[in-house]
Amino acid sequence: MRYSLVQKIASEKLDSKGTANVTVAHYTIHSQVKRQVLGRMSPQLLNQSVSWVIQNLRRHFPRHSVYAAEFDDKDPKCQALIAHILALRTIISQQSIDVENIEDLASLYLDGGIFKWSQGRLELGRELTTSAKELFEIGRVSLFTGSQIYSFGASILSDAGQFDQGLRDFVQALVFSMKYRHELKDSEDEDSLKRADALIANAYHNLAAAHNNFDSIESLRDAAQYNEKALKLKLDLEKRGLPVSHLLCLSYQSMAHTESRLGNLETAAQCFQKALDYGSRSKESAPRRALTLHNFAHLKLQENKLREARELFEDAWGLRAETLDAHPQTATSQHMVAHCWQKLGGEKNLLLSRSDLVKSLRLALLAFLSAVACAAV
Amino acid sequence: MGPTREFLKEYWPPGNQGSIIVTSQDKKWRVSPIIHHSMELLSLEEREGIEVITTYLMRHEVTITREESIEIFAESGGLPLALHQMISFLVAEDLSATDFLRRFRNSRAVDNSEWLTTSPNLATFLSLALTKLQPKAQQLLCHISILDCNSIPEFLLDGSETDDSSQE
Repeated sequence: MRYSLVQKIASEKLDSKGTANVTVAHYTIHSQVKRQVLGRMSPQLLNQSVSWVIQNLRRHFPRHSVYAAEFDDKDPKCQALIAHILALRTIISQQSIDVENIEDLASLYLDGGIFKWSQGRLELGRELTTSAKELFEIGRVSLFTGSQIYSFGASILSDAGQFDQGLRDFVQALVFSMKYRHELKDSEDEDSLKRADALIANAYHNLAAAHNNFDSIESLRDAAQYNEKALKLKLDLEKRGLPVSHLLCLSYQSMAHTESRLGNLETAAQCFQKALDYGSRSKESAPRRALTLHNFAHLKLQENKLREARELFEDAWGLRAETLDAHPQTATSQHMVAHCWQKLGGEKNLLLSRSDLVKSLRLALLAFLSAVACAAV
Repeated sequence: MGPTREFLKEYWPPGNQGSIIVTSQDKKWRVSPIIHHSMELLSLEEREGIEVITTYLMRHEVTITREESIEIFAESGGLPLALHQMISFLVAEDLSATDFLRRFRNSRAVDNSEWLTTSPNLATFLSLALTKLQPKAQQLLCHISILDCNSIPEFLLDGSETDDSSQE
């Protein structure tokens, strides 16, 4: 670009294997130049540019898969592109733009929201999901995408403690996923059919998790029923050759949670063990496997099996330290190891308890400072 | 008064904690009731502006007189961005100072759009500069303007067609 309207900056970074330097280039445009160019654009040109941006962002921004875990909060492409999704959203909300590729835009907002949520930026995650929902409600967005929009939106609501509203949206997500499956009933596209079934399985799983948030026996029994439905579908998908280890890990974990709250501790232990088995089969399940270890350890504590509990908490702590580094969850697991040492009693164990407790406090402080630094960015 | 308080309200982050820095060319913001602390950053002085012009043009082996430098500086309003854009345009188009000033003054926009009045010198320069870009380069500039200002990765622009003659 001439006249420094746009600046090109080249820098060297390590390649994805971390072995060789590669030159990466990016561009910047001064905000005043951007503003002046935007002000001069005709509505037709603005529509064309918005469509172009949507198309290219959709091409490059990773898509969330119904079979996989959420985005890695350090995914480089997500990190490189999320600011542009937010900028696009600002332009669209300020101008009256007739967006042609609404399906792509809705899925971009959804995937951007999921990424922000994985970074712990719940407010931005909620805003992007709300924008996606508004597009779905206008029409021209597929039921497949709509189901995921409602599902993810419900997750955010539940995380914020709005359980009733979250449950309602999870129900909507199930309805949309079933409608989508019905649309495909005469289809011979096996991949689409499997995806649709995975969508329904996830919707059942989410409803189970939502019911687990309530204290009544009735809700827990509903949770158990939804867990069974989700598990049945996922096992069927496994037989059909799909990579659903992570999804099965989630289901068994949810079942363990429900069963332990219903007082069925032996069944819960079996479910925890199955969750661990499936979780060990895929690297992306590491955070979930750590959570399963941690919760399994709590079950052992309930049964007063202190040594087993301590070992499981230590395994959870080690896995979290490896995958999450300075994170509140890592500190929590370490704190529980300290708790187990203390319960076991004896001078040596009390010294170990004190040592682990101090380390967990330091880790918690470090995690807090990291979170503050991230929020400031 | 530049972008108004209502205009900026949309960009205000939620919550009551933290601070926001507002920068504006309009001095009336200094006395706005919503501003707690203000600091005036002065425009370039003539001496500084002439030094910028001279250094840049010397690097590109372009010679102009001191009087011409003063005129160019005056048209920029002492604003660093506008000044930089103007002299890089002069060099890129291989214009004499006289030609540049004539074209610039002829292009002085009279539109009163909000986006124009906040930076009239830059607006005038851009009116002139944009007409010189090839259509595909203009198109690419429009696309880029939809994105965030910073760190636009090159791979995002791959596949967009640009005319080679409009590239630096």
